[in-house]
Amino acid sequence: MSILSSMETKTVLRDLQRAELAPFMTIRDLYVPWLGFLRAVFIGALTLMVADMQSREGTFAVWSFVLAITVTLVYIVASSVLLARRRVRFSNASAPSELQKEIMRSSMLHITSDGISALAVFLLPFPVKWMVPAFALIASLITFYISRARVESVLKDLQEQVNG
Amino acid sequence: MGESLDLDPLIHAPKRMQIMAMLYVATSIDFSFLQEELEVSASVLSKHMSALADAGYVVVKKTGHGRSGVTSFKLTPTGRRAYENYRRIVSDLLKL
Repeated sequence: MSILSSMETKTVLRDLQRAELAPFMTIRDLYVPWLGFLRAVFIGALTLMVADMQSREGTFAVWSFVLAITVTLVYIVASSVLLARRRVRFSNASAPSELQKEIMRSSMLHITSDGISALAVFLLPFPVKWMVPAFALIASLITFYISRARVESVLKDLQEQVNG
Repeated sequence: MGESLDLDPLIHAPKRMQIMAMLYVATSIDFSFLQEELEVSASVLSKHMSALADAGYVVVKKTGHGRSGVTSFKLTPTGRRAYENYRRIVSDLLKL
């Protein structure tokens, strides 16, 4: 194979970089709004269950337990289906470092948000405790949209870097 | 220069080069994704994939049957080394 000219080499390298980036663009598939909403309901239902179980009356304990379990199962099945339907599989470790950091930040943001909700449901007095599920649901939705926007921004930056 | 700068002709074809680059960073990729990214017909992509599979650069995995069946591809260690070598040569050429 003959040696490439400088211009050809640059074109080949750019094509390689673009192609190497393409699989990571599919990470957007994991930030679909319905899954974010389902996750928020899941967190809300769990905190509702705990709050209700801790209440003196426990009026809705059984129903909130059924709701939490149902939403948990739906969330697990939906996430599995979504992951199975993805046409590209890769480990986070192979992603560009900027994207790796953003995925990590996104996870930390969700863990922090869920942690605050969990602490609140254990520490707050009644009847304030009953507000926690709503707070957990909204906080989860907000963190989801923040994460989505940040991942989108990183992907856009990476694309711009490659396209020069 | 000489042999160390020889580009693998099997990878050097533009579409195959892109296929190798995408497979290099992924664990596995489905046929439909490659077809969409490369904007080629199914028959053209099949030919490229057969050439890479015959060279031992990729392995094919088929799951399901009929319309619901999925064909995915994965780079073999040989393919991985070949791509790394190809990329190194291209990068070295730029430094010359």
